[in-house]
Amino acid sequence: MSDQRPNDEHLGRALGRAVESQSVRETPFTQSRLARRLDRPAGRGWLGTLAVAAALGLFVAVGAFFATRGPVGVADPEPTASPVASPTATPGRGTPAAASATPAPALVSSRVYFARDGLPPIGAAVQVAAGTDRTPEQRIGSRIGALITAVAQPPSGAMNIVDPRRLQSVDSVRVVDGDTALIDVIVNAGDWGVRGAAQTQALLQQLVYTATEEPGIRRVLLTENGGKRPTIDQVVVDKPLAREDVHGYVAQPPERIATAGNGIPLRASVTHSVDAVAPGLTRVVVALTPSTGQFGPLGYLPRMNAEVRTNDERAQPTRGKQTLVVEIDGIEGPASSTTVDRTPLRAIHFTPGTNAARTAVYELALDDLRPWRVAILKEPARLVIDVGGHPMATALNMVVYSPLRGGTVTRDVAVTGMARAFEATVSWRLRDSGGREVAKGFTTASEGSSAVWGTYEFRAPVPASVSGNVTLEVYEASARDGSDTNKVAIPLQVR
Amino acid sequence: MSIDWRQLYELEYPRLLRALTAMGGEGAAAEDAAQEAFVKAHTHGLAGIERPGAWLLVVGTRELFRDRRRLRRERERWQSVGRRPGTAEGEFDAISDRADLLAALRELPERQRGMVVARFFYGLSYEEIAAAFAVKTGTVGATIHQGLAHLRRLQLAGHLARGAMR
Repeated sequence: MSDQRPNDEHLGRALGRAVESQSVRETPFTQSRLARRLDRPAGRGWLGTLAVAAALGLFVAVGAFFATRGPVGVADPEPTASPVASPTATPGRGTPAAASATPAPALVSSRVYFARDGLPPIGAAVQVAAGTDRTPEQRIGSRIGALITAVAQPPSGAMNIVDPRRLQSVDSVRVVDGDTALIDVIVNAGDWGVRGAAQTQALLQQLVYTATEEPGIRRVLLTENGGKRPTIDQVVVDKPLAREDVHGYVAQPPERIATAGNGIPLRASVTHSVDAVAPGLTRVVVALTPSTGQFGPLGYLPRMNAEVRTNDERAQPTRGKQTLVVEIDGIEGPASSTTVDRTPLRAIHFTPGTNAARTAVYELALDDLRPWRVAILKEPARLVIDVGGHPMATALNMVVYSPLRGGTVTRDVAVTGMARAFEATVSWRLRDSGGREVAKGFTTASEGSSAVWGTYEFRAPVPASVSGNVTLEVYEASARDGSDTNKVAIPLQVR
Repeated sequence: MSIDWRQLYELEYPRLLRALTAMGGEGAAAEDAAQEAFVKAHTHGLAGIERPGAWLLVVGTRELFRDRRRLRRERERWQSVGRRPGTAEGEFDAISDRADLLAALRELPERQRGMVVARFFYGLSYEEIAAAFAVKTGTVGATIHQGLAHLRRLQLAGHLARGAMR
C-alpha cells in the first residue's frame, strides 16, 4: 500500500517492530481454551465451565506479572533456622574455598537483597558458611549463592526472584579496577527465568545490590556460561551496572541544600522511620529547640548544609555506600551512633561541633544514592530529611507521598507530598479512565523553588459523575510555557 | 480434535496475542481476549470466516475493550514498564523508545488502535481493514492517518518527558 506518506510509513513500521518485539507469554495450543473446548462435546454445561476457566486464567495471569515468583522453595517460618548452604550448594563452584568447606561449617552473617513490587530492593541478613568469606570474590560469590540456594528468607513484602532452576551457580567472581565485580553465572540454556520488564529489573536489582554489598565494590558486570554476554528477557546486559542504574528512581544531579541561620544554641532530638510514612520512603526528623528558651518557635533557624558524599567503606565501614551529611550549627550534645539496618538507611551518626559555630554533623549511612530532599517545618521547628519514596511517585522536583498508587479513595482525595515549584504553585488534575480531565486545581507549597523543599497538602474533590478508575496528576506548570513539568501520575480507584 | 484448528491457532495466536498486548498493554487481559477470540471463531464456524487472521483480530480487539475494568491493570503495568532505570545506556534507550511508542498507542481511541495495528503489524490493506471492521475504505485511511498523527505527538511528548526527568 502506498496510501501513507513516507513519514507515516516510517512511524508505522517502527510501531510494527515494537509490537513484534514485545515479550509475551504464549499459551500452547494444548492448554488453550479452544483445545479444551474441542476436547469436550459442545453442550449447555460448557458455558459455565468456560466462565470458570476464564476467571481462573485471568487470576493466574494477573498474578503472573509478579506474584508467580514467590519465595523460592518452601517458606520456612523461622528465618534464622534456615539451613546453611551445604558445601555442594555453596556458590563459587570450582573455587578452592568451596571445595574445601568442612561438613559443618561455622556461620558468618552476611547480607543479601530481595525484590519488592515497584519499590527498590530491601536487604536482609543471611548466614553463610565461614570459609567462603575470606576474599571479596568469595564473599560476593557466597552472597549470590545464598540467593540461588534460597537459604535466606525474604522479609515480609519482599520476594526472591532468582529462579534456581535457571540460575544454577556462580561460576567465577573477579574484581577489576578496584570497584567492579565480574560475575559469571551458570544459567540453564541462557534463560534467566524472568519475563517482562518488571521482573527483569527486580532480578537485576537483587543481583547488583547483593554483589555490591561488598565494601568498595560499586559496579557489577554479569556474564553467563563462561563469559558470554547475557540477554535477560529482552535486556542485553553488556555494561557494568551500579545500584543507581537499577534502583528505578530518576537520576538526581549532585546538589547541596543549604540555609542561612542565626546560630543560636539548639537542642535536637532525632527520630527516623523507613517505609512508614510512604512505601520506599526513609524519613529522618531533627526536631530543634533553642537551649536558652528565650526564642519563640519562629524566631530561630539553624544554618544548615546538606549533601551526599560517596563513601569509601574500606576506610569508613559504618558510613554506608553513600553518606548524606547534614551540618547544623549550634546543636549541642554528646556524639552518638544509631544502627538502623533497614534499606536504604544503615545508621545515623551524630558528631557535635568543636568549632566556634558549634557545627554539628549528622551522617546518614545509605545503601545507595537515590533522590533525597530536605524540608523545614515550623512550630515546632523540624528539619525533615527524606530519602526515596515510591519510584513512580518521585519526579525531579516533585514527590507524592499519599494517596498510594492503585489505592481506593473516596470522593475527597487527600494528597500530600513535597515540591520545589515556581512560586510554590503545585498544580493537579484528575483524569477519568478515558483520559478526560474531570477536575483540576492548584495548591501552594510551604516553599517555592528554593533549595529547601516545600511541603504541600490538599484535597482533590472527585466529581459525582466520575467513578471507577481515575488518575491523579500532580505537576508544576512550567513558568516558561505552562506545560506540565515534574509530573507524577497516581492511578486510583474511586469508591 | 481437528488439526485445522490447531494449525489456525499456531499460525494466528502468537501475533494476535502481541497485537492485543500492544493495544491493551497488559498480559492477562490480552491473553483472555485472545483465547476468547478463538472460542468465538469455533462457535462461529471456520466456514463462515473469510480471512481468519483479520476476523480474530477484530473479535479479539472487541473482547479486549469490552471490559473497561481491565484498563486499570493495563495502565499500572505500562507505567511500571514505561520508566526505565536512568542508565542512558543504548539498550535501555532502544527499549524505552519502543515502550514509549507502545504506551502512546495505548492512549489512542480504541478504533484507531485497532486499525493502526491491523495496518502496520498485520500488514492488512485498507480494503481488508474496511471489510474486517465493517467501515468504508475512506474511513480507514482517515482513521489511520489521525491515529499516526496522534501517536507521533504522544510519542514525542513521552520522549521529552523522559529526557527531562533524567
